[in-house]
Amino acid sequence: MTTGWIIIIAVVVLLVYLIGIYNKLVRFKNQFENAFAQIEVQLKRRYDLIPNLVETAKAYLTHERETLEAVISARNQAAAALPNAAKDPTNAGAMQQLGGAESALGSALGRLNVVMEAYPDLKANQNMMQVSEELTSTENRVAFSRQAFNDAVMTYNTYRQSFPPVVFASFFGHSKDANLLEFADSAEIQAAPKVNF
Amino acid sequence: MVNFFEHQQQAKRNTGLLVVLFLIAFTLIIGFVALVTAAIFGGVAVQQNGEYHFSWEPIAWVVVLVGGGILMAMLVKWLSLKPGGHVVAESLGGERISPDTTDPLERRILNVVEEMAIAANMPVPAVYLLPNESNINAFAAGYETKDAVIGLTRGAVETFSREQLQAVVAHEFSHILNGDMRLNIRLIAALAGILLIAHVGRIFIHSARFSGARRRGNGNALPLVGLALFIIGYIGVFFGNLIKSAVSRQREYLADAAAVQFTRNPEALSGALQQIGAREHGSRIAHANADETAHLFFGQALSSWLTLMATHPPLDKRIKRIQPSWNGRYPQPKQAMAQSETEQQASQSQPSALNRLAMLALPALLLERARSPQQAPQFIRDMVVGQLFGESHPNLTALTPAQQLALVELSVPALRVAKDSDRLALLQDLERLDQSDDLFHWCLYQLLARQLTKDKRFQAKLDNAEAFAATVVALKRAEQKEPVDFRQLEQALNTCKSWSPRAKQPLVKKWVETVTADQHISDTERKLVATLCACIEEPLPDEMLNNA
Repeated sequence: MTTGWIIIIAVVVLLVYLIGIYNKLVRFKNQFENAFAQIEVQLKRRYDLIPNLVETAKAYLTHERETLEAVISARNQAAAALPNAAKDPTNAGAMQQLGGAESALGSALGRLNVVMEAYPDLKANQNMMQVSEELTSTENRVAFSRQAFNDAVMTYNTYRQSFPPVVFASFFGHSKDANLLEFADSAEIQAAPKVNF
Repeated sequence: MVNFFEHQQQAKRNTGLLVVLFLIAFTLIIGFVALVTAAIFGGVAVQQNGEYHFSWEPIAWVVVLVGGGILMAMLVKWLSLKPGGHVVAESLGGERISPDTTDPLERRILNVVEEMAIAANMPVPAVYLLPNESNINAFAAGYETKDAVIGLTRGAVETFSREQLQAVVAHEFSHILNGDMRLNIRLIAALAGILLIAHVGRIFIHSARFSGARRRGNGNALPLVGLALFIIGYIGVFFGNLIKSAVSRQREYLADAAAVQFTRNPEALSGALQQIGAREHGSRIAHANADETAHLFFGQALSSWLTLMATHPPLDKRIKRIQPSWNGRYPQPKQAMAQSETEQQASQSQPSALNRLAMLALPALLLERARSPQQAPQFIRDMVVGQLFGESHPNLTALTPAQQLALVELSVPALRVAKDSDRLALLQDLERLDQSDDLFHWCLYQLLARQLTKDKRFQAKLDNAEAFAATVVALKRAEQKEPVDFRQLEQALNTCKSWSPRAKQPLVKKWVETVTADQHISDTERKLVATLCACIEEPLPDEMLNNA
């Protein structure tokens, strides 16, 4: 009689424990998937903001038409690449295309920033200050959403690989580690910058 | 490189140990109370067959009684603390920052909060500003993630750089994310339960004194029990508070480490902590309700003379933990910084002045006056207002309108930081410009008045002035058969429509003056004025009726 009770209690405890592991795996997985969606949202926000920036700067930067046009065309390319990449994040080709367009946009914006330094009136302009605050914030958001994604992936992987969840993870359908997000131009970033005098 | 993940693990482990300690202490207190009470009432030993046997039964009864009482007290306290974060924020005198604010500083806070919400993978909380707190601090409140709020003092908003704000907000996010509010509310509720024991003890002591006592055999036991409860209760509260403070300090370390995880920028957090250290009153919160929320703040909100009772670890320890390379020196106090900021603002126009100087050949002396916060108000008055009434300095009359506009624009940064009294005096003088119908003067007035004031009433006045001018300009243009911006006219008319009849009269008078300027009123003009009058719901003036 008592042994029967002990067995029943042990089974119930084990079951509750397993349910806990299962739910935790699901939670961590959803967290990093949500984090990935955030990146997309923030990239989109950035593409929506750039035309405002260019419009505001246009009035002052009449002699910098080329720089402005470069920003707009890089923005259009990146905005076009985004839906393809978002549809299927595992598609390496689409991701690479987005990565390329993103880095082109980054460098075009960088050039615009340098040009704007030479126009203090523009920098002091109320609208411009607003737009550039929004842009700074968006750049941060893009970076933070990438970071949050990587953190969430790390939490998920660590939990999945730790004992005892590692015993049950594949049984619950969590057999693969999630991949960390890396820059397409990772090698370029890691190379030391060249300085010419 | 600081391993912030490791620090978080450590803080979480320490919290766990402390909470276990707290639970043990809690159980011990109840056990003690039960034992003492039962012993004094003589219920522990039961006489049976001439022998004394130890009996659990009375102890169990007292445990149930005391436990029930404590649970009730905890429940009451818990319910009073549970309401959402906005209640806490408002009880501290906070004002919610509207999500569509256009104020640059407020916009920046909202953006930073949204950024950190993304970094922490959490919903965006409401943001409150404590406008009356000039010291640097921030807090998070709310029982659950969904009703959480973040608050910042005015001092924090004005002092911190963007990156420091990020670090502080990230710290607060950690409090929300790790359920620190919940943990603390539970601890406070448990302490309230223990405090109840002490209160009951006091009531027993008093009741015995006032009832004249000694009516029955055990009458003298009551004050004794009271005294025991009183002592146990207060000792319990003391140690409970010690543990609670220790928990709170561990949560601070945890939040600091999490802030570094979210921002990956330990220098910013350390910089923010150093700003607090640089100030005499650092992070003190003046509001009386800060007591129960002290553990939710970024820095120590209450003065505490006992480090063991402090809700936050000492600043230098926190800084050392996130930035071991820190040299232990705090930056200059805020006063000096504000000074240099003022100078910076005033000299911001330097490069733009260089451009203009080349283009407009502005005299250096005038430039200097326009840029100095002390001289600019008087200078602008001389140039703009004086000219209007022919009292202008000969030096200034020679200036072209383009040069004047440039000088006015250049002077704006200086005017902004000028003394309030100077600025108001200038504004009053400028209002005279408003009465001039010269387009150039109107431009100057708009340019200056908009920059100089943030007062909403004044802003409305400006909008009215603009509407007034727009209708007159439209009339003039129509008279000269030039194209009219009908959309602008419509907007202006809508504004004018809401004026009082007394305010409308001068407007109509002005219209009539405009069309009669050439001593002749054409049919078109008559129709126009009639339409405008109908639009703002004013009767057509007599001049327009006759003379047909």
